[in-house]
Amino acid sequence: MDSAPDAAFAAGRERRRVARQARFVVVLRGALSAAAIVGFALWAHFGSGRPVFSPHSKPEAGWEAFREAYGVDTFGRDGYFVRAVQNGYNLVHHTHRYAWRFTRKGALDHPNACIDCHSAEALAYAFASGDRFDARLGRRVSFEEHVKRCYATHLDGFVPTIYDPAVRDIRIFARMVAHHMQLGEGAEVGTP
Amino acid sequence: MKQAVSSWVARRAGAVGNELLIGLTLAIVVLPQAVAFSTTLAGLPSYFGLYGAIWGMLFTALLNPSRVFHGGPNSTQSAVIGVTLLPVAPQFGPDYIGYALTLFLLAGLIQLLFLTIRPLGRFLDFVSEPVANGMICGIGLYMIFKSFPPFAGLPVNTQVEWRLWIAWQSFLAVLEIGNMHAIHIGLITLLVTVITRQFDTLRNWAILLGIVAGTLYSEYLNANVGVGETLVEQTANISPAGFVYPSLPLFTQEAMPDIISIIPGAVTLALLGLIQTVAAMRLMNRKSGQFVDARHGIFADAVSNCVLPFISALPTCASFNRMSLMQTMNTGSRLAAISSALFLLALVSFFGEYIAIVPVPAMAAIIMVVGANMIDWSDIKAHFQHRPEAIVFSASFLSVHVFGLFGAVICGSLLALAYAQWEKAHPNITLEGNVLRIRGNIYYGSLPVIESLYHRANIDERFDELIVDFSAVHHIDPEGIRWLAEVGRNGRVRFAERRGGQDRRGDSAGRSGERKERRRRQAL
Amino acid sequence: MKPFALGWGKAVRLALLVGALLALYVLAVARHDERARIREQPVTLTPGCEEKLARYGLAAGSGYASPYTLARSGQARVKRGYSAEDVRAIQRGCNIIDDLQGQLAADPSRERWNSTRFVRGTHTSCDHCHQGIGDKQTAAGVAQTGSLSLAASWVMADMYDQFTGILLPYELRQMQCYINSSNGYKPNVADDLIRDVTAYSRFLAAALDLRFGNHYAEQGIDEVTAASTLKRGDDYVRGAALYKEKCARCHGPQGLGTVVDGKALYPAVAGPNAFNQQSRNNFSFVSTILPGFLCRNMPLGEEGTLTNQDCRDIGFYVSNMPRPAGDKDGPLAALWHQLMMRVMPTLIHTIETWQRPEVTQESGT
Repeated sequence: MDSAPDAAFAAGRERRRVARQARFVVVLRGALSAAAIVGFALWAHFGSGRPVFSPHSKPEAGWEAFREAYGVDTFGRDGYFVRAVQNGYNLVHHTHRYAWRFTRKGALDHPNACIDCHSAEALAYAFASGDRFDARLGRRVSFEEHVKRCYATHLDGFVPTIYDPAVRDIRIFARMVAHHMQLGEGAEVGTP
Repeated sequence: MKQAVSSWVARRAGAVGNELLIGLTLAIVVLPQAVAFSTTLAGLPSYFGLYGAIWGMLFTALLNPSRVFHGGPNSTQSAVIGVTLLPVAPQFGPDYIGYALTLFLLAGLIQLLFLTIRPLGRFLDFVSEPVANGMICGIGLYMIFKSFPPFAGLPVNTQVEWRLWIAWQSFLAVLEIGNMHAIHIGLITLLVTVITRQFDTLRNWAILLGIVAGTLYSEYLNANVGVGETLVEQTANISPAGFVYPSLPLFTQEAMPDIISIIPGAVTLALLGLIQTVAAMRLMNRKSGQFVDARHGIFADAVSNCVLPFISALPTCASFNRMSLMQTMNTGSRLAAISSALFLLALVSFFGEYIAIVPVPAMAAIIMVVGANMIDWSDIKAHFQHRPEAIVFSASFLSVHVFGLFGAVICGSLLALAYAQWEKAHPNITLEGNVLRIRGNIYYGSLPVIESLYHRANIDERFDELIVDFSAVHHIDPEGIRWLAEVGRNGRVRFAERRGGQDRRGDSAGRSGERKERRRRQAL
Repeated sequence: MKPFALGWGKAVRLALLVGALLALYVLAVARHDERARIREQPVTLTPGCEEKLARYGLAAGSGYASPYTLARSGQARVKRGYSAEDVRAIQRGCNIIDDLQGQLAADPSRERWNSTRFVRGTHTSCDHCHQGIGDKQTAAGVAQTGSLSLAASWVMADMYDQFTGILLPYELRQMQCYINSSNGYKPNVADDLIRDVTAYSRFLAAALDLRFGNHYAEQGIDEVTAASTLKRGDDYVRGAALYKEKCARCHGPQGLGTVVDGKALYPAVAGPNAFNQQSRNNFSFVSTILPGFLCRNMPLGEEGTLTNQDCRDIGFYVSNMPRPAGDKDGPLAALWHQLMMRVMPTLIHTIETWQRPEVTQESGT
């Protein structure tokens, strides 16, 4: 009768040990999987060599020159509007990189950016005479619609939504240039 | 011996083959959903949904031992993302994406909180079916409304307003100023999807068929009328992003006010994800016979959602329809889920060009179908059989539209707790003749109800004795004990407690009395 | 069960659904055609618009030269011409600003693009605030400072807006008006209602020869800050007295406006037809805008008679009168405001005039 309690206790200890081990296995498995997943994310960032997405615009070559030449600083050194102008500048000059979602053109294609066909001044004049009737289409067409059309056809791409920054910032860029040129509404090319 | 091995191999190969088939089916089913959820509901580029479907599914399959669990992008969560971020930045832009990543990370951290603090995790079990169903039906209806503008190629209204009024105005706008080409594409997609869904064999492929039909028609339009004239928005290019696109959430000083304003959205996202995961696992535990603790689901979701923001992916949570699909096809292991992720990766790599030309109105039509599907009439009828459930369901449903998604989650949680408390506070009390039978809990919450009935029975002149039967009471708190002590002092009252096998009385009777008691007990 | 068989019940439901969708499609086609027809129709101008557009020489042609610019600078700047469609859009836009409710139109819903759908109440019109049909000029024919000029607003569009936290294109700026000042619901950004007003604003910018990105004094409101007063406090009671003396004769003792023959002669400044809690006119929200507007434009016919402090007092008083809740305030606040707006004026009027017939004129709507 003496050994029965010992056996019972031993059996209990054994059961607890097995349960602990089972829990440990579960926790270990979870921790290893989590570590693998985190490791994959770390590799994607540092080991894979792929560019990391960042919400901030990168200053491209030529931006400072444009800024000087077109007096962007009247709207501030930095700011929501100035960043939109900068993004517009990037879109117009490096379209295949900044609007990669809406164009199939790559770095080696030509033309692969808005600036290859339209100068900044031309865009400004186009903006100043936006929202006019287009006889071919039979309706009034806005500047944004023209931009969407360009992406889809001339840039061999896809149609963005009208409020996508890839469209909006081109308008804002054009507005900035129009301000620098002191264009009025409806200005004909060559006149303010 | 060789025969035994080869037969074992054949069986295993057969099983593996079955798993791969299930994986392929799932990949094809999830592809259109992922793209639609991220472009139309969440306002994010399509690669978010696709990476959510690939990496999200892979991560949850790795972390969650349940063989029928299928994570990936979720329509409810995508709706929450869209609603939360709409006032913050213009959709699809780099700012918007940055805020979205921050939102996902916050949601993941909140889910980690639910994992580490056990009682919080237990709280999720209290979200009863009528509450969860009410919210999901409400969100389904909301998704139908939200897809009106993209259905007709119209811009989305970006400022917050009462949802039902926006829905009506959007509907009128679709009728009056929508892009007719977009409406045509949307209608074709909608009709093809709805009609093919009616046939059992084609049910799983209905959405894909609808999208293919819509895309074919839009390509025909582009060829004949010209893409520059139709100007129907498209899903757009995903191939430059590659198979993984690392990203950093936005956490700058100047973004702080906006980040603070999206915290309620993060809470909503986290809660909705966990509620759905826990509910789905509960359901699948019953159906599949493999029991997996819901905490594994919470762990899988939390860790995945903390990592997914760093690889440009939508957050993940359980998908009821995909999990039922796996269950119907008798999946045997997690290989199905893992292979579905890999198949999807392959599909996206090879067919990325075709995904890019899918028109947005087709996506909007799909969202309408998914939203309508979330309103399950048989479930609703079942809830309306029972009045408290009906009230809770209706309140939950309406709060989505009146209070918004965050308000709905709070409202739903409160309703869930109230529902649980209500049940507990209303024990089943019956008065038959002179027997007051209590089944349930005697505690401070239920005492008002018990005591009023007790007093009614006590003043009844017809009987000279009142029997209080609490055999089926399973919990008595100190307040209950105090009440029972008071009742015991009443000479008229006799307690009956059948479990103990004997009457508890103030004075003990003789043997004959016992026999009489036994007969009387049987009469009870 | 055959894989492609459909039960009768299902087939009927499916047929109903498909039928409903096709019926809606037919309705959509009809409505679209109607809109296209309205765009083609010649526009009946309101008297104010007729005069203004004639003054600026709006006509279809290969070029456009503004008589206003010619008169002021001696040079005719020839700008891009307008087609007939553009001219009609500009005319419709002018009509909308002048007469949003369509009270001067033969068929208000058709000629004003269903504008009343988006505006609560029957009082509000755009040119109550954007006076002079968006182009208020002094007697000398120069644009008045702080007159909410639509043209000046167009050339300075796309700027950051602190209340919404985003860059506001011109269409969304109009949307702000629909949400706040006219206390209404929102048209879709692509609606003709918005596009025509944009067209009119752009025409004004061309006629007045305003340049992009330049700040003009007539843009927005000429705000009245506390710093421009003697800082004797924005006194509510003083404001009430001033209101009773100068404003109540047109806008009503309780701010509910004056309605004659179903037309709002003088708009409400409180109650269900007035701007809501979230509007920038609300002194509690932005304390410089309403006083600025009052000092420049009110009382009608006696502009410039109020001191800065007077304007702030009246603005404070007016903003505290019951008005609808804003969209972001949520349904409970909206309900509370609705209750207060409907109940309080009648209650106060009854109590004030209880057996005191001599005060009947001062109290009540």
